[in-house]
Amino acid sequence: MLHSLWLAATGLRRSPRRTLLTVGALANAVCGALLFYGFTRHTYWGLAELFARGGGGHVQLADMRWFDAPAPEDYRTELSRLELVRSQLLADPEIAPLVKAAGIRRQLTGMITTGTSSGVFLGVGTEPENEAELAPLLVPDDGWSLAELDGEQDVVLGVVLAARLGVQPGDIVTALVTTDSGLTNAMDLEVAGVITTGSIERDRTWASMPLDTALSLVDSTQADLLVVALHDTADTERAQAALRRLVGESSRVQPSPWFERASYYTAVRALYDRIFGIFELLMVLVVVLSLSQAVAAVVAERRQEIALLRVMGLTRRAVVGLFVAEGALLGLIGCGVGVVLAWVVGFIVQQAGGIPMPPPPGFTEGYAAWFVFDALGYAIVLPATLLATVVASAVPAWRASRGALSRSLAGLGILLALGLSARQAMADPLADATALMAGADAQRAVPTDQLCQVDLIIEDVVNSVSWRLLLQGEHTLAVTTSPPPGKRQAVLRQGSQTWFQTEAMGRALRVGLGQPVQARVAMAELLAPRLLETWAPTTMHQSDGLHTVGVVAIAGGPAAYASAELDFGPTGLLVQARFHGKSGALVRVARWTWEGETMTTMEISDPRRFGGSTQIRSSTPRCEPGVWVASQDDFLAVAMELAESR
Amino acid sequence: MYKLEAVSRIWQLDAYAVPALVEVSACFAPGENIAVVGPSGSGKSTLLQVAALLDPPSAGAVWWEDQELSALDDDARSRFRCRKLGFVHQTYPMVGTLTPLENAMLPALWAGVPRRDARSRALELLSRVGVVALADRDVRTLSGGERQRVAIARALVNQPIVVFADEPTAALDSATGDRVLDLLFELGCEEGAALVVASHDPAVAGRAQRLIRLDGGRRLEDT
Repeated sequence: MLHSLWLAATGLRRSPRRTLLTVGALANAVCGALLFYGFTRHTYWGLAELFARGGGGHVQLADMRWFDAPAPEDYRTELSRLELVRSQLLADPEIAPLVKAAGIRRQLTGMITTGTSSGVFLGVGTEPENEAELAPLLVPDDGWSLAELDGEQDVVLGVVLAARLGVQPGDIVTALVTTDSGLTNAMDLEVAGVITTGSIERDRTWASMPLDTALSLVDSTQADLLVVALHDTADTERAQAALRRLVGESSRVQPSPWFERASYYTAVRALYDRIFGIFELLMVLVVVLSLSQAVAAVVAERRQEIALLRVMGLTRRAVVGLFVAEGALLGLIGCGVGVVLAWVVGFIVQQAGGIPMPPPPGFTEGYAAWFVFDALGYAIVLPATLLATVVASAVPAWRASRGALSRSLAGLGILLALGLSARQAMADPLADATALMAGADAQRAVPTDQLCQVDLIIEDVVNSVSWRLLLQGEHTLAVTTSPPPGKRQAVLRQGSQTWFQTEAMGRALRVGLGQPVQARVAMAELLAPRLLETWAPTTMHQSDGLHTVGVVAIAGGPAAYASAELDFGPTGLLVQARFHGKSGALVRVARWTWEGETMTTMEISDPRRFGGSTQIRSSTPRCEPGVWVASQDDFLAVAMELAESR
Repeated sequence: MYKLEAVSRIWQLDAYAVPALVEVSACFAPGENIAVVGPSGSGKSTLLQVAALLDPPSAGAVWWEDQELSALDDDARSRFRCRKLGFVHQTYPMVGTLTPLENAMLPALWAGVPRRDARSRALELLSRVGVVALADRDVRTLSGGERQRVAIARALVNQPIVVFADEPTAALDSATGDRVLDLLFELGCEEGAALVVASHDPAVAGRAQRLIRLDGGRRLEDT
């Protein structure tokens, strides 16, 4: 375990680019998930506050039948009873500290008229002295608010109702209602203010007036409910339990929390839950998939390392443990960076005044959205990210460590001795694609004993340079073999001109005499032309004596093209390959000629780019130790020029 | 004594069964060095693979003393490889994020050797193969010859009973290859390990005490 952690930490520290890329992907995912979660929390919080601070309170006390009855007017409570409960709760040592304000409400309906125009109103009688605390969000557009009503016969109207009646503060309207005893009553009221409640429906019918006025209008001593506002919405359930204890189980007057009464909140939240839920699910899928891909790609790049570790004697569990340790470390760092990023973005948004949002459905006012980061968000996002990272590390590592080590080690130079044997099998025209490719790998293997080698030192970096004499027209080419794939270098020399290129540039070596470029040669193909490590066969068919195998590039492999068709002759020799780009366009055609089983020429043509063809003839000078049989001076001159120019 | 008893290995290529090794028997004694030679496709590498427990034989058995290694499960074979076998590969693979010293220490650490002991053993071996000065370098900057020396140190760090080397000089120039072979034979003998080298190189055959010649997956001679 300790060795795994050490190896993982060392690997991360010494591969800063790979580590940064993976941590970056993780941090982005964590940051995005936290911000999205924070946005939804803020939206829910805003909706809840809108109800609780918009006059509904956090807890409502009323006859339990009143809450859900079709005709709630049958279940009103005596004003004196509600006043008694209010005085008790404000004196209760457990409840009182939680309570910001408590006010009694009486609802009434009727018609309101100016004599020339009229409308239906849904009114509420309130206690003005408590309204500043109970409904701080209800701020009048014009005139005075509920809290500022000073006359007994004042009324605050919804903005749409006021417009319909054509009244403004100071005007007189007449309210017509049916009293509790069934008689009709009317009263002149002075419009004290006009208010936008935020809800279009409420703005059409809203009329609020002092409680005494309302009771007088309906000629009653009964009220509907006692509304309790708390200092903190999070105390709602605690306050509800304490109030239940206060009033007793047997009492008809019982507390009900805001979330049971806020039908609008419940409906909107149900809708948002579904919408956000789908988004969250999609986002989690995208995050998990992209993370898995990023981490799995890193693991896939290290298949040879995994094979080496297995050969050294690590069990599969140990190999997986190593990658899990690495994934966990990456996950922890990524989570940490992601959280900080989310905080920074949240802070910036907060400083900018939030994200302006349009009004929610049924509302007239938009709002500024922020991000709420709470423990639940961290508890969901961080473990999910860690789990995804660990699983994304473990699964490909487990798969890469599975199977015959011989195959994993093919790239390490152990094996495969399949070449000749497979080629013998290919005498059968029904031979399969894998066997054909294995045979071709053996035929086209680089004759390593025909490479000449010197150490080329460039800026203290030692490159083991193999001088492989390839003739491309009149060109000669040297390629390095010691740096890892992707960093190998090539030198091209002709006459007095020299070209230098690293393989990392598109994983391909561009060989040419200035402009235009004459040919494009994938260095990986020159150095390790192994079909089975480069391509995965997908189709195979036979015609005109040729076996044609359709192949696609193995992800993360050395292939310079997206797909290809390989033509094998009757004896299994590779005679032609047609390479295609991502768009499917034919990019390059390579043809090989053979004398017996010896390749004599390789001809490359690039119909799309160059229009012509270039021939590469394989030459096989033997090198004796320390003696260059060809172009030694040229090469050393190239090396000197290279060192000086860099 | 490390023994192969009539081992065969058949590669299954979809519908084709390709016999890569056919009933080959051999034994490797401590301190002995053996060259496995033969043309391409003769089964040299397969022999090393099966003998080194990298692949189970299709038939036959691999023994060490009284223990049938080829009957062990994958975990047990891995542990045995770690503690008792060493490997030198053609392309001198390394864990690229570790220094030469750390690469050489790695098998010892996994075998449970205390870190300090693993470090001193690895340093001693790096010194004997002549690359101790490079112990803390980035392994990716080493030349092929230097990397192969580190690979030899790594193969010997757990004092293995057998060291398998598959074409250890194939990717090196002749002079470097000669030096690597010198070290391999010399250190293998000093450490008391059996050294089994598969190679095309006639120089390897000339140095070995024993020669196993293969062709078509069959043993032609063992001299």
